[in-house]
Amino acid sequence: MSHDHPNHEHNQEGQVQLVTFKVGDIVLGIDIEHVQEINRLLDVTRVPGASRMIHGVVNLRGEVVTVLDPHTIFDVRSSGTSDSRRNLVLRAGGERIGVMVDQVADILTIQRSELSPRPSNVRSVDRRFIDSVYLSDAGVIIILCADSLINAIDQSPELALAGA
Amino acid sequence: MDDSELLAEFVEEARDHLSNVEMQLLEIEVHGANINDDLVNTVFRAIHSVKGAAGFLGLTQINNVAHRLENILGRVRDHQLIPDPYNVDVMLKAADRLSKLIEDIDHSNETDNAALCEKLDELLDADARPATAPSKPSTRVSSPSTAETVDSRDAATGARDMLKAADVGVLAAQDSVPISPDAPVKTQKPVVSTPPNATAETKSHHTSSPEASIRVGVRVLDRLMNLAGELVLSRNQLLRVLSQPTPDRGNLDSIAGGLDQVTTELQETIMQTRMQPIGNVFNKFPRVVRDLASSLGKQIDLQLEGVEVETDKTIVEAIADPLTHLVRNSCDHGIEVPAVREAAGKPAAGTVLLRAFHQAGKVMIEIRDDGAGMDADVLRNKAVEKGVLTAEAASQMSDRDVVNLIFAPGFSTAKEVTAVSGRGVGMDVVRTNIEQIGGSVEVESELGRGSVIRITLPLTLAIVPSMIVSIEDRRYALPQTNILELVQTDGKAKRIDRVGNAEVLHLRGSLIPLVRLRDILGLESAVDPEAAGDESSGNQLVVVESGRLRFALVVDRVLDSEEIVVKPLGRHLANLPLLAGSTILGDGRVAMILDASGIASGVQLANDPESMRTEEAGDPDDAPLSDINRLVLMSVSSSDHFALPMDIVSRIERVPATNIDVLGDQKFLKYRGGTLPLIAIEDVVRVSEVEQPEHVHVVVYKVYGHEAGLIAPYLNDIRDCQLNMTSDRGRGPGVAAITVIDGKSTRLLDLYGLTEIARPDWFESKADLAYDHEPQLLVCEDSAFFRNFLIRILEEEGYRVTSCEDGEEGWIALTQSPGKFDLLVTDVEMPELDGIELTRRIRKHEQLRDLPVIALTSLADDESTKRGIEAGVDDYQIKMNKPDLLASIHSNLQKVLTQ
Repeated sequence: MSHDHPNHEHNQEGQVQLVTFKVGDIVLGIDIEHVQEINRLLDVTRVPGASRMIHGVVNLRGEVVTVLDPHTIFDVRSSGTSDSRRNLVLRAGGERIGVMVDQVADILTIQRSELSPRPSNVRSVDRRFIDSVYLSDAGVIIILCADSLINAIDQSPELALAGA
Repeated sequence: MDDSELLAEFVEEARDHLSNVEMQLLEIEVHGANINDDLVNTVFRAIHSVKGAAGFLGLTQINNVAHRLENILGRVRDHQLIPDPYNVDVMLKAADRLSKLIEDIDHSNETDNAALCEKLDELLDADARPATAPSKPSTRVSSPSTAETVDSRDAATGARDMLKAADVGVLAAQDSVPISPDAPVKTQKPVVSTPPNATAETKSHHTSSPEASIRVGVRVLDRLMNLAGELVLSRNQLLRVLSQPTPDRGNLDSIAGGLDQVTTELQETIMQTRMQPIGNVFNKFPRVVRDLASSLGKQIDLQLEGVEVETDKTIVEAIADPLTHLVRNSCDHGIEVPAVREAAGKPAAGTVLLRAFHQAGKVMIEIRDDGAGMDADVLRNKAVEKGVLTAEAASQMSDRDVVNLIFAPGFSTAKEVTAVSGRGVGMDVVRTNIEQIGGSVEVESELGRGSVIRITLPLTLAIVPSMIVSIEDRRYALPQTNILELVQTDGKAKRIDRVGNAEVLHLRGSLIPLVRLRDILGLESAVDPEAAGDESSGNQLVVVESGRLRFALVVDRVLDSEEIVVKPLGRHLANLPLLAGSTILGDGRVAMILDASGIASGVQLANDPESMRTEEAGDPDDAPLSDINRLVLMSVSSSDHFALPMDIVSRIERVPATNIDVLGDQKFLKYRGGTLPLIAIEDVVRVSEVEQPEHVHVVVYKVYGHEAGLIAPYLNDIRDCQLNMTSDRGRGPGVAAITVIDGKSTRLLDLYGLTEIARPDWFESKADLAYDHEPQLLVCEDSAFFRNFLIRILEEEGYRVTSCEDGEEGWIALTQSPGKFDLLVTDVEMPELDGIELTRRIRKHEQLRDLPVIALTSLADDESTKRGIEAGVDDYQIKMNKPDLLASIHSNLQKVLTQ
């Protein structure tokens, strides 16, 4: 599958492969470099006290992996059906993290030059997560930056502790 | 074999050689002129090997340094150079440098080691001796089996950094180090060579150190091979049986049994490979202590014991940092300079003993020093200064507890700490780090004699025996080390007392706070928890202990006891206080592991020695006089017990229940020709049931000019009891506190509060306080219980309160700021200076003369009242009579303040 080739081949000029998917009615994409796998591990165990942005955790072949809820992050409602839902496992900076998306769409191979810089007026998605934007025939696809997504999850846990 | 493989092998071997060099050089230093040829030879050969290989591989810098070091060692071996602190220091530096170069092997040739080489050359020339040698540190490394164990126990790692990364690799061993016959962990002959993954890593672009590795004994490997074989056999059997059309259940059972056994053994054996001697961490300390002693101008003798004690690799790694801090602390703050020591009659050289041993399934580490010890009083003051404790709590705390405050957050003076004692890491961080790996730490100290720090560590981190509990269908694991016992409350929940908001479990004479797991986790109750008798909800109690805190956790069901493998939670979830990690259960689902101390702190079970240690109201002779009170003990049913201070009782009558009339929601008693208003406890305080015997007792009392009676269905006793137990958690309307008397939990009634609620119309509405400033009251009361009670009701009333424990303190407070206080409320019977005498003094004092004084007493007898009035007391009040006291304060203040 994909390898870690930090400074070779894909980046500067040339092609990039994007995995596109839907969260609510937003169409998003991410560099395939950062995608470790797409699976149907939807049976998430909730984690008491965790940030709302975190769905919970799953057992990924013996490793306990955190799964994000992009609907909370991007503040949209869920769409799609339980059949279409997928767990997108991202890999960035040595970490693995899952993202529960409503539907996975196509894998697009495009030229880097086709990507537009992130516009200042994209309201639906927080600016820090946006790497760039791609204008496809079907509409705008917002390309996410995996690193900032992973880092942006607020790490202070909600303390839902009752004083008994 | 390509270059990178060669390099990797060189690095492994060089590390090996160098891992012991430091210890050996220190020994050489200690021997001084008494040169141990074999020892020197050992070091010589090690450096020689490194030099040779480095030269062969074109690692010129390493070669340069090693070459010079080898020459120096040669001269020592020839007795031409006598080891002394200075030249050993240089040798140590050279060894350090070599280690450093080896860690960054790819760039080693680019480094500049000219300065070091110059120093080494100077030594070789022997004429160039520096004019001043650094102060001679005397560090002796004495440990009974060091020499043997260090040699025979080489894990491939000496320095902590190398202990990272978790692979078990097996090396081709080239032993240039003497092998002692009884060491199980060593390899004699070349075994399987490094598997490819090691090299794949070293092929990285940056200077990433090659993967760490561990040495595994051949015997252990053989065992693993055997077990693997048995596993295969079991599997084959299983497949065979399952392929039959109707598998024989009996067969399956026996196969399952065999499988179970093999798996357990396999697990244990693999865990063994991860066990490392604690010496790996210990043996970097001689150097640390030596350097430290030298820079501090102290003489410190470090002794190591138990270096062979083994524990899991992860623990060995995790303990290194905290241990370093603690050892440095002992040297820095513990051991005194020689002059001070000698003046105190101690030997000039201080001793630090670092000792590891097994005890009760745990690994214990002790750091013992014979230094200055800790001054509990100084620490007490510091704690109060830093706001960690109130002055009162501090004065009541035992010395032993005070000394352990050094681990309290907010207490640490680490910010001021010198560079010597560690990188600004405080003692609270040390404790946190130790607790994170499932350990605990405490300190014991004797001023002038020294201190002992004791660390308790689990044998292994990764696999934890646990109980699996559930709330509805969600499962959680609770590590067995925290579990004291399981308690089942039969459906009627008789052993649980509910008092207002708080719930407590009554267990063999003590009260344990109850914590509902459901609430802690924020799960909605599907079932009304009050519905006692519902089996599926909240009837299982797990009594949990974490450090010194104890509580009972309520869960739906207790499932199994299982040994679980701890899986760390990802970065975003790692810091949740309630969780200690996660695990994967048999069915593949993830379950959270609960963290007992996290739960405890979440429910604010403060680690406050005062709070939850509710003790039996025991032998009155034990209690300080002030806290013994005569109590009336009564019950409403066989499970609801109450107490009242006798002194507020006028009399007690026994009447037939039929004499009680009920008018609307109020009760009355036909009494002495009139009617007595009655109050039933259950009207105000929650009870589990009310019994209606034929005859009841009525406790008659006076309040606010009204006479009233409290209905006590059963009167148990009237006697002296201790009142120094206050558990605030029991407080509520009408209840002042909760305690245990005769093995039963008993609520102490606040009779006046109770009356206020039952008959609010009796109580005058408070006149508007027409003061120009908030009145400041001084309270003198030696009983902690009453003092707190008074402070509470007065502050609730809106007054500002300063409190003192006795008359003497009160006098000081008054005279220091004469205009500050508007009124004095004082107990009469107090130790140092009693209330009467205090009042006398006040009346004689120029500025305090007109201070209103209200005296409190439990003895409503005329004699003392007379004395008091003579002394100048303005009013006498009974301690627990809240409304009357408040009224008196109010009117006395009015007199003074609204003039």
